[in-house]
Amino acid sequence: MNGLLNVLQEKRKALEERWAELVLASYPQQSVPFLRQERDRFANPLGSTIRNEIAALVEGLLAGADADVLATHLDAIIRVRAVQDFTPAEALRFVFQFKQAVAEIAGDDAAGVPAGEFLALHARLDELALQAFGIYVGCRERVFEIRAREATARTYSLLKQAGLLVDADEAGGPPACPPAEGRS
Amino acid sequence: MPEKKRDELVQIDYTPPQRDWMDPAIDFAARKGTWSYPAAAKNLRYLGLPNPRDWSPTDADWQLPENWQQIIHDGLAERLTKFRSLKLFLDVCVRCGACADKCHFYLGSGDPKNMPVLRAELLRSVYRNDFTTAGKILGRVAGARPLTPAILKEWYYYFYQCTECRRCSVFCPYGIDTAEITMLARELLNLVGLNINWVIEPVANCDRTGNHLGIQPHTFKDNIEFLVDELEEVTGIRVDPSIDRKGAELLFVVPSADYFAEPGIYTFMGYLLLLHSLGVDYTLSAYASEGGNFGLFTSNEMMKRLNYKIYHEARRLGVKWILGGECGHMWRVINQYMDTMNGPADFLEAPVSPITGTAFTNAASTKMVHICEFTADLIKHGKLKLDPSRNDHLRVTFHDSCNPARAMGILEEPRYILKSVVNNFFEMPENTIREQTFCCGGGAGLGNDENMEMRLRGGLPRANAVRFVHEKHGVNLLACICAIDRAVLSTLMEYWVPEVGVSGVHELVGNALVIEGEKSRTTDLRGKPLAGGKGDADA
Repeated sequence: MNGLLNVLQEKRKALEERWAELVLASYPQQSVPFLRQERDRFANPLGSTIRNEIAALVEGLLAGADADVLATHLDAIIRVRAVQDFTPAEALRFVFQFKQAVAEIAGDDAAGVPAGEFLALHARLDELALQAFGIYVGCRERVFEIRAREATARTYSLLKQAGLLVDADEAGGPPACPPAEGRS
Repeated sequence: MPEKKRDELVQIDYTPPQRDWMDPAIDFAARKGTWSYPAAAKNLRYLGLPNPRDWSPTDADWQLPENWQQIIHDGLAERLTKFRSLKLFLDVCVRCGACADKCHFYLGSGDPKNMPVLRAELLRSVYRNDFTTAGKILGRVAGARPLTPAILKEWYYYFYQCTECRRCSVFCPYGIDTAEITMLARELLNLVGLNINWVIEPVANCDRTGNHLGIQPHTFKDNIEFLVDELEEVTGIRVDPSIDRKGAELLFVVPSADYFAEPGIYTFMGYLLLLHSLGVDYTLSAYASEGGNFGLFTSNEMMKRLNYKIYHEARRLGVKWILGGECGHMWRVINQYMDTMNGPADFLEAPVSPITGTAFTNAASTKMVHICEFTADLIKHGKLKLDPSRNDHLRVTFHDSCNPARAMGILEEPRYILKSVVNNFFEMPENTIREQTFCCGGGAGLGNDENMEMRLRGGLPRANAVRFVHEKHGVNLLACICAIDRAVLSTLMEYWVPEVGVSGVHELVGNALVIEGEKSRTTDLRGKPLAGGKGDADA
């Protein structure tokens, strides 16, 4: 393990907390105390998700976890932020705020760390940011898929029940494919 | 890198600026996905509601009547006299904050104006300004603000961001029913033509044809027959529900989604199988073809008008009492408002189960029994032959639908039924079920697709608890007793926990019910194979 990671590992708790603080600060100020303080994960799903998943991301980043492990934790945070009052940039800013947290927490302890170690960590973070971008787009696509599916399912059921559709099954052809999983 | 420069680099403040909550500026164009489309002029015209016009919340000019401020002021004055509860709720709140973090929309969005206390304050501040001495003299210092166009727009935004689920009320030490504040605020908005189409169109349809979708009697009959055919394919049993049959013992009223949309249709199949297997003498009505009452989300007059149709049909058909399906807010209307609106229904008989002889004394006045009460009683008396192993492919949890849970207290019956018809039942955490249940995020007319992001935010607390039991117990089905839930939770699960499906309780009853003469079941009501090649030894 290199010097920077050693320093961060020693201060992992503080790093997690600082990064989570920075993420929580993106919410309206009147709500931050609640989001920060309520620890029951069912009473405060938003605050808990951010805190727990940020902690898992820090652990993963410092331990060199696989991309798919990191993706799970990224997904949990981004899935929430993708449907909140954020622009895409605001929704994903939290990824880059890791740099700010690292700089603040490592502080003087990292003064002697070679620049290459920072570059390596930042490169890792860049990869995380690219993953985040994919996840965010995936969540937004999902929202619109769901909207389209709701509209299609409603119309399809009505047409079918009104006897206005004859599928291949009834027409004597090969079995028809339902329009979506579990719907016909 | 010199240390000083590094410190400077990180001195960026991303904290959103703090705004005074009293000066709102909602940018509707920038907040797509969080509001519902306005009511179409044709629907307002049909219902005789004020100010029909084509408009959008993104327009700068909302085409309000010239004297809109006076209309709202007079409307509030009238309601303060008429509803003592409203005056009490507006005066008595001490802003203790007990409700603040209990709203699913607040928990999912972090937007302070989704705190029930602050949502109510949007109206309360105008009330203070217009009706209290302190407010008139001290103005903003006393938390008062004159109604401006920006505040009216804020009302439209936030009062159509409350699902009237009443979770906040559970925690209020004064018992303030914040849903009623939303209801009254919506009444005021209606006076100047600010309403949403997903409420007003179902109301107009319901008033005209008897159900939200505007399904006419012949299509109603076709729909039922279609489901009867499907049911026969799975079970080999031909059920024969009657429609508009005079002299039947019971009128059976269901939410319309149960006979036209997935997954509600499977719940409907469950009802039909159950009633058929017992030989219950019941009829459906093509006019009382909707349990839902979106009048509840419009005005008390509209709620009364739509509720009346059910009792009118019961009288016309000469039934003894009414059985109600797995509908949500219908039960709030029945239990909390019906008696003083259209009751007492003394032309009907006090409900007694024709199978067990149990008198449903809780429904002595409304004469309307929840099908879960009816079925739980049947199971308790050993009247049903059930094979819960037919639901072994399912690992089930139960979502307490807000209205049956909090407005009716029907907490045990669905659980009792579920535990009798499935072998794998798991509760979600305590602070997310029963009276504390989290809303689906789509009630009170907000379940439309243009409001999707708000729905998904509002659904986060519920989905979060479902995810927990999915991960801990492998739960793959979320059962509930509300048609809006069945539609909205299905979508919610697709986004948050795609491994979990949604069903009604009576769909699972239908799966487990062993009926004389049925064919060996190889699939459930949805046509999905039973666990472990089950079915060969059945029946």
